[in-house]
Amino acid sequence: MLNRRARAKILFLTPITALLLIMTIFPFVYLILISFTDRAATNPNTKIVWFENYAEIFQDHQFYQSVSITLIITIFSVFLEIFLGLILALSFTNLYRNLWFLRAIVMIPMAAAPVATLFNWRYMLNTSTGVINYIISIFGFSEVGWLDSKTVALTSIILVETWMWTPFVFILLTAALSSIDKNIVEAAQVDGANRFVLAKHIYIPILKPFLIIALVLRILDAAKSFDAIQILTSGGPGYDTASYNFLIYLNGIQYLNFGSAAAQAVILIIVLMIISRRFFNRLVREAVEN
Amino acid sequence: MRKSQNKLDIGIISVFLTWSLIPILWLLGTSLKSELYVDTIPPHWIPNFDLTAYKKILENDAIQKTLTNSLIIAIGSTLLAIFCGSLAGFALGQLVTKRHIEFEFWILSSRLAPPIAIILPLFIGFQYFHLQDTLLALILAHAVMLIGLVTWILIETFRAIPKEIQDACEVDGCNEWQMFIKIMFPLARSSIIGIASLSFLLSWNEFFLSLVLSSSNSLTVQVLLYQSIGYQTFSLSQLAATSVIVLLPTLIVVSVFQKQLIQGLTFGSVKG
Repeated sequence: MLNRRARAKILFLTPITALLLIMTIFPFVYLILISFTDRAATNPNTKIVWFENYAEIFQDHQFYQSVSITLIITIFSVFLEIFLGLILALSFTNLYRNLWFLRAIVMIPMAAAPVATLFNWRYMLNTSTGVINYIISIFGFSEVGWLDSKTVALTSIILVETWMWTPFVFILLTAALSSIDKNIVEAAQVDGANRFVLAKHIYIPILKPFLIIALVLRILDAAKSFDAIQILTSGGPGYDTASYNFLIYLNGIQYLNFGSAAAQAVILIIVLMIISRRFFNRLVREAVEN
Repeated sequence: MRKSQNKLDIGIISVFLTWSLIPILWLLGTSLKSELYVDTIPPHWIPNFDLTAYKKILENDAIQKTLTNSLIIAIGSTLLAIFCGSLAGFALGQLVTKRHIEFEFWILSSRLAPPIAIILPLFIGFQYFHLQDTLLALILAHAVMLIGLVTWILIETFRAIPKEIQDACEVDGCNEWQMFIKIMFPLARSSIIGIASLSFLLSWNEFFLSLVLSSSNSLTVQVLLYQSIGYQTFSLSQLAATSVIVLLPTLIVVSVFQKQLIQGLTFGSVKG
């Protein structure tokens, strides 16, 4: 017989457990099950095919292409976000004014509705009527088809992703930097430390754990980014900007090949789980220490 | 020496603010131009402050309907997430003597999972239960997207309330439910309001789940906006006006609930 406290605890945890069971655990189990079948909207007689879907993925050249696109987008955009976010956070901390208003402005790109801002980017990047091509034409450059060919379109996607998510790194790092004892910084400055010495010996060591958090969270999000690709290029031209995540969407939701898309999704989950494990371990350690 | 360093910092930050803001200002400018001026070469840098686009948009039935849908879905999913999340936050932050780390991380992991992995079975499941393209399906899907984050922060919120209050309550003879409703929930109120606003914003802005799960009845304004790009249904200035309307909740949250926004978006790894 449980005591009253334990019963209350179970009762209070019931709604969230029920919601997560119905909406994440069951679907996840179902996903794994259908990944072993040839289920598709066009296929009325579903049968078990075991690992056929998985085997097919690795024979499909589109798999390798989409993985390389995912890697390109993730690596370049996350690198730029961390690099710019770090420089900006250090500049901000050197000035140290009231941050509220500036932070509000800086956060707009990541807090804004992606459809609205991405529509605007698409409109600004338009080859013939876009304002960006007009500006570069003033400087004597010729028209660029920003979303029309593979390399340029990937560059555009990376730049727009960077525009959206640099604020995230920036916010995380400025918040971490604001906890630094000002006396240490002033003492170092009295000893003649310039900005590079300060950054190298005081700021970066303190920021290291936060840089890792930023890195992992950004990689996890960038690897499954969807909105920018869907709205700017819809994966095109052809499949030239279709990331792996986007390919699963096309396969499962657009072409309704449930079985094969489920197998692709299972692989994505496994990879993301491996990446986030280290992060989780770290968070658990910190949580226990507190 | 100090002066010149400051100049560099101010320069860097000005460039960044310009880069962040100009696209938003351009969008705002476009929404205030007459249709003839929106895609000319050379562009009209200064809008002619024509409000026709806003008037047309707000009178449009499809826009009105989708705005209402978005509002219902955002409020519904926020209420559901706050309901489940505050009960769980109270149980895990107050009622336990030592932390249930495993359980807490199970809740958080729902936020880190790729949405495509959940949406595929939900897409099939909702069709099976005839929930496809209903507001309920979208409320449930959005609530699940929010719940990890909401609960994660609420556990911290409830943990910060001194445990002595519990003892005082017990002396007065209240049970756990009364303790939650009468004492703890009101104490956590300001934090809950902040998290609810953040949840509202995230649901309002959400695109991927809505794109997959809604087609006509439950269409959200984000999906309608997306579908209208590249079609002649709305002019460019009308699309821009819709975008500006869609951005209003963002402006409120970044200015009023900045702290919770920062805390929520970074999983509470910084306090904001």
